[in-house]
Amino acid sequence: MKAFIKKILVFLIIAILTVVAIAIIPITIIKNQSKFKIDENSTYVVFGHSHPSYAYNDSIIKNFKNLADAGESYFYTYQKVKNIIPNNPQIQTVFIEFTNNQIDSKINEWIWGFEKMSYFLPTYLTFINKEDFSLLYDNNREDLTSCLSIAAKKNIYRTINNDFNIINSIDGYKSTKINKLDEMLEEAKSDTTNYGINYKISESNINYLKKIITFCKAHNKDVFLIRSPQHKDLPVLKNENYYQDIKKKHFKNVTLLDFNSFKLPNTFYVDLDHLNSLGANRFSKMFNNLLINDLLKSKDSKSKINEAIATYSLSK
Amino acid sequence: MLFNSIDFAVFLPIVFILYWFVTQKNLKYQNFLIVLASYVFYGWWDWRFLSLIVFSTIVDYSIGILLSKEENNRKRIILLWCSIIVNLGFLGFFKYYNFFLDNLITAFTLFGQELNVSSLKIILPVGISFYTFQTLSYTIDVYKKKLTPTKDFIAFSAFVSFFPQLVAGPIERATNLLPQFYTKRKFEYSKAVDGLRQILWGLFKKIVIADNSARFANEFFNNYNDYGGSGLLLGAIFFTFQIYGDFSGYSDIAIGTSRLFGFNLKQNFAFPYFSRDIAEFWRRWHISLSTWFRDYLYIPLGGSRGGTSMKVRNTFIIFIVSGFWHGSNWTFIVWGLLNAIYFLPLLLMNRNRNNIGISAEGKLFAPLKDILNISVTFLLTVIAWVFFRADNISHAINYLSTIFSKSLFSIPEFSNRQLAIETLVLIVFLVVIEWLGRETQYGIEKFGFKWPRSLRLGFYILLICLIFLFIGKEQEFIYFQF
Repeated sequence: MKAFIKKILVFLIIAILTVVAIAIIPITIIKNQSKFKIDENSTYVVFGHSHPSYAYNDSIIKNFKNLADAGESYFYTYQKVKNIIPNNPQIQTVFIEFTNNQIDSKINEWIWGFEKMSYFLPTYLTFINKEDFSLLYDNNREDLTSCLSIAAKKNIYRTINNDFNIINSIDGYKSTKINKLDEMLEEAKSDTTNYGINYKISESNINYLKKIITFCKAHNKDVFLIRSPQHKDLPVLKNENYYQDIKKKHFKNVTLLDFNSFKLPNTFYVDLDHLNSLGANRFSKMFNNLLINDLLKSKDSKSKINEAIATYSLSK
Repeated sequence: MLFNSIDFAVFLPIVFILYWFVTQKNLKYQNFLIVLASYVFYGWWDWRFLSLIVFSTIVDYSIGILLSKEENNRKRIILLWCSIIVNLGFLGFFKYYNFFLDNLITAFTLFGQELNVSSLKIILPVGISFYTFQTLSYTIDVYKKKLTPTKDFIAFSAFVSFFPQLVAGPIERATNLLPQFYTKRKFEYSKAVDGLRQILWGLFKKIVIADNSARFANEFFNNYNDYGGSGLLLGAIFFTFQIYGDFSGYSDIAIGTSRLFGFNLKQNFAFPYFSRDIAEFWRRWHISLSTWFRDYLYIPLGGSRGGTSMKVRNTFIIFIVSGFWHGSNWTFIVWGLLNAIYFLPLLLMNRNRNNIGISAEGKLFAPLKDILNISVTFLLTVIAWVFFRADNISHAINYLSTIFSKSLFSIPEFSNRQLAIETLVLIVFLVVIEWLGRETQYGIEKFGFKWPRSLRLGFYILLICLIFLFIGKEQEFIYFQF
């Protein structure tokens, strides 16, 4: 019996060390070799989830790089920002998408839910710190184990394929001609979320937005929150009061560039949240024009935006 | 508690150490620890349903004792029926109540009548189909005087609730398992090592094969309208390996765990996908259930004796009941029916026992005839599994009609192609290992025994690494729902 336990323990130690080695060695290599360099001319960057990913066509907007990823919460944006900002001194201005769904408690699932965690953690595990890791561990330790194994496998592939340019893993601008708005309008009718007194906010996501802003400011970047166009029938817009309150309460020193009232025909949307390429091109032209006309230096950015919206909006 | 969970990884060593270091000197203590551990294992899921197991244990223990004292045949039959009614009553209520009610409502509606009864929100107690059949076998064997009833309540409780096989089998016969609780178990090094090896192979089958195949099977079955025939065929093949990896993996872990505690459970899967006809498949798939139905249903009904009509009737009964055992849905009944249709020609032509041995025994490669027969049997099985997996009959029919359309010859498209290819490679790996080990009890029982020891240990570490690298989202075992 004692011999059995002794041999099993030795075997388990060897097995665990092997597993740890195949997880740790690629992480170490990636940490040393990874690159976060973007185009030297990109002085403007936008971070966020699928809304900006579909809205900002960076081939239209001058000196602009779309670094958004579909399904990305601020938790993962923060990991991205921590690496991109110090590696790209040419960046002067950082736009961070701040839309209504980013304050909703459902976004917590985008931080530690299996689907998003298994997608983003493999890319950012190498760069994550202890405190951030604890957040995932405390909220979903069961799925975290699975995600660590997915991350280990992806890291092995990354190392074998010599693929250390992490920027390649970022979606950026997503162009699509799809339009399924009618279907989505039907679906929106069945939304049962309570936007009333008991509406739940994602404290964690807001907390990471604060961290992103603090980090960027510490690196002397101009930071703007930005809200790209959303369809007026998007259910989550019903949380507008909470959205405005949070903006005032937590981010009063950061300017919000609000394009929510930008009107486009239904054919310019993929669905209620996202613009398709028609919408993105129209919006990007307007945004480019605003940047050229010194929107960011203006003391009254709101009226400039409203003027531009009035010019570029399309009713039918 | 799931075998593939952290909870079980902590639970098992604790029980193992207590079992061999604290209670090893006293049989009663050993058995009591097993009962206690089994109740913790089961109660981890939902402690309320422990009462069902305890009740079932008390009923069958008491009926066993009463049967041993009773000589009057009529009274003995009444006692037997008491056990059957109690056990199947629980099973019927928890598993089939809503099914019968829904079908009754539908039947009334067809005749223009409205039945104002609403279905109940019933939680199906995990493992009820398994332990019900296990305790029933005890009472039936005692009634038939094949088994002396036990007077040791703790041993009987341990037999009913034995945690390795409590929730998803193998369904052990009292004649095999119960006597093992009467003798003190002694630690055997080779048995324990063999147990661990079988657990490792079971975990590989469950975590690497079943859970990764499940991802694609779910994708194809849930969105079957979006895919062509080739994709759906691939989806059905993924499900074929999902259910095999899931269920045979569970059995391997159960048998291996039992061996760690000094028990021998019967083989539940004997490489069923290498069967050369459906009759052989049913001798190799879920053996403990097939033999249960054979001994307690098919043979009492007359078996294959009697005329052709009798054979046909009994075959249909056993396959339909077997299908219905799996779940209260018409899809399972059709699955059983389809297997009966596959099986019947072999029975009627007296060819159901043509393939008793192992294909290409003692050889590396199978003859062409065997390869052809194995392929045809596998394909028939894949088609039957579509009914098993589908949500309803029309889902299955639509799924199959898309498979057998022109799009069968198109290139399949699906998300995460890389993981799909990896999963297919791992399935091939499984098939190769199982083919090489098909003359043993489980795939890697003797695998690499001729290699240097370090190389063999390296192979086991490779399996552990594969398990680590391919852990998906923790999935319940499919058979928990049965």
